[in-house]
Amino acid sequence: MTTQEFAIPAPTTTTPLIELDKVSKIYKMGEVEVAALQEICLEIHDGEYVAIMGQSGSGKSTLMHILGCLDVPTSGSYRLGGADVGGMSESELAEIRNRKIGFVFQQFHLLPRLPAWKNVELPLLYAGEKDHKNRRHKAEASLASVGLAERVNHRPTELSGGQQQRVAIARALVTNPSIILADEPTGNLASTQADEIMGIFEALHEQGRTVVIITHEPDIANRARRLVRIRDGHVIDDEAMSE
Amino acid sequence: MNWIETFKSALDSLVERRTRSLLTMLGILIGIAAVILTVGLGEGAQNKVTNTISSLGTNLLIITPGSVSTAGIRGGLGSASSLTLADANALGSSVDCPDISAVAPVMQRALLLTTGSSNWTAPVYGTSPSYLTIRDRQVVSGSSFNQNDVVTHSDVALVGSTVAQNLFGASSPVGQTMNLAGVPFTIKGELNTAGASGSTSQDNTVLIPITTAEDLFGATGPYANSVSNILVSAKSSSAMGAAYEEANSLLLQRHGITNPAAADFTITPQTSLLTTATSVSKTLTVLLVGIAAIALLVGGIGVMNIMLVSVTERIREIGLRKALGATPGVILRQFLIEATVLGVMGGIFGVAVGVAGALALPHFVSQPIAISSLAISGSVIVAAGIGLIFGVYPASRAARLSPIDALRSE
Repeated sequence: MTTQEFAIPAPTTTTPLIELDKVSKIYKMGEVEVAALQEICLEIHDGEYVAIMGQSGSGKSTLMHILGCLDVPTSGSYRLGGADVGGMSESELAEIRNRKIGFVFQQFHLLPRLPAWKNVELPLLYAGEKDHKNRRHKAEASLASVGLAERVNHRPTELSGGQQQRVAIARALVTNPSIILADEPTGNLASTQADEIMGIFEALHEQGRTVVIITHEPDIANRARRLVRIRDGHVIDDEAMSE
Repeated sequence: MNWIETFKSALDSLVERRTRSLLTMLGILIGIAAVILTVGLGEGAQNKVTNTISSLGTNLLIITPGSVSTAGIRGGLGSASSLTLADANALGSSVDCPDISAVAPVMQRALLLTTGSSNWTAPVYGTSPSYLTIRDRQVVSGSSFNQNDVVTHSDVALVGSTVAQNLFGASSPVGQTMNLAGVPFTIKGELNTAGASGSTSQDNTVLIPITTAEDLFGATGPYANSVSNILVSAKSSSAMGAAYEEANSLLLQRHGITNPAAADFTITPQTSLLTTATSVSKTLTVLLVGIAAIALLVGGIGVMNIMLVSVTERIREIGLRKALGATPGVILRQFLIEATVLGVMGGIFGVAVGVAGALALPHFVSQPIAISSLAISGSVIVAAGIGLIFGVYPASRAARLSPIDALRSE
């Protein structure tokens, strides 16, 4: 097995925000071992806008789970903001997810019975934000930042797909995390709505946020500033994109 | 996420599935209501028995003559005339029997009572004034006979309410005269109404001084000076054992008996009756509570079942909450609180239904029922405990779910 190194395009800070060093993930299906990721090395710096692209089965979802601290590597090390994530307990991982990572999922994953602002409030509850008014204020501000100031009391079922995904983005932003990690964020959306959502990610990037989008669609991937291609658990290509 | 937020979130989730939550609570509700009612019925029955028995007199020992054996033929209990007035007097000695506070020898015959216009038959008891204290009876009008009446063999009597009514109707018996076996007696007082003890009415009774009874009953020959029984009162309920021993050894000694098994008398503590009666109703209560406990167990399994369904159904919600930063502990807490709230709510409704039933029941059946505050507070705690215990397994399953698997499941 070879380790592939790629030049990191124009590092902006000295310590990378994300540092994967020979990360492998091996699933055991009975007797058979399936390597979803094989010795991946990847660095992502603060403020980057990265698309991770690959076909289904390429290992991109596994990579996203590891980046999002939803799963831990079988071998290799993952440093997030300089801290080694390997060997952390489940509770510690939960805290990392809460404070450092904002997830945006393909299926939105909103709680259907809660109004928009309560969905956005959830991460603040787990962060231990005690003041109720403060939580509501932050949730509403976050919704306003994605253009949903008028929809704070609407339930997900009363919103369009694009609006639901914007609620999910507001939820990802509310704890002011280091990284926005989006898994096929436009996969369930019509193209105009997809455009809207990609517009929001671009705006976030321009505000200086780190955005990582996992997708299989070249159209989406091409809008990022850096494209990492994954195939069969390996990084096969890593290139900077022109604006 | 603090406790209040977790609690609110648990409550929200129960309200979302209100039909199912109510049905789950129903299991606990029925169990708790059953506990309240059965414990109430058991306690009610026990109180009734205790009241009846203690109305016979407290700290009471009843000494009755034993059987006699004549040429190998044994008579029944009471066939011997082994107890005498002298025995009674000896038992009254504070030196030999320091734990005995009062002694009342009793001679008993059923006699015809007559007045100028009517007649009635009732048991006549010759006894000492301490009988009233021992049996917990009061003179409600007139006065009791006293020790002087005993010494002077006075022809005076106390009558129970049934006797008074049958001989004198509505007018007061006090000061009136009635004949007992042809001897005129002056009625000094009327006894309080005490109701029945077993099948014997305590109100159909006439009390006269024991010395007078000796003269009246014509006790001569082998029955001379023998008494029907001797009532002994211990100084306190804790002195019952000591009083029993003192009376037993004194009587054995006086009767010249060395082998206690051959005693010609029997001492029955009133408490043994009470204990027997109480233990019967206790057994009943335990049985009923056992049934109620099974109902609660079934209710608890219902809670577990619903919580397991809820965990499976909300697997994506759990995954999402974990992705957003919920620790396993927070998820565990949320599901435990949900299960406990189900238990507590079921318990509270169960108490309401149980108490309502206990209040309504006396209108339909003539069974005494007590509303036990211990059963009420205990029930709610037990219900909460059931929710908690049966919630542990579903909650720990939820807490252990991997966020990826939970998010992926469709």
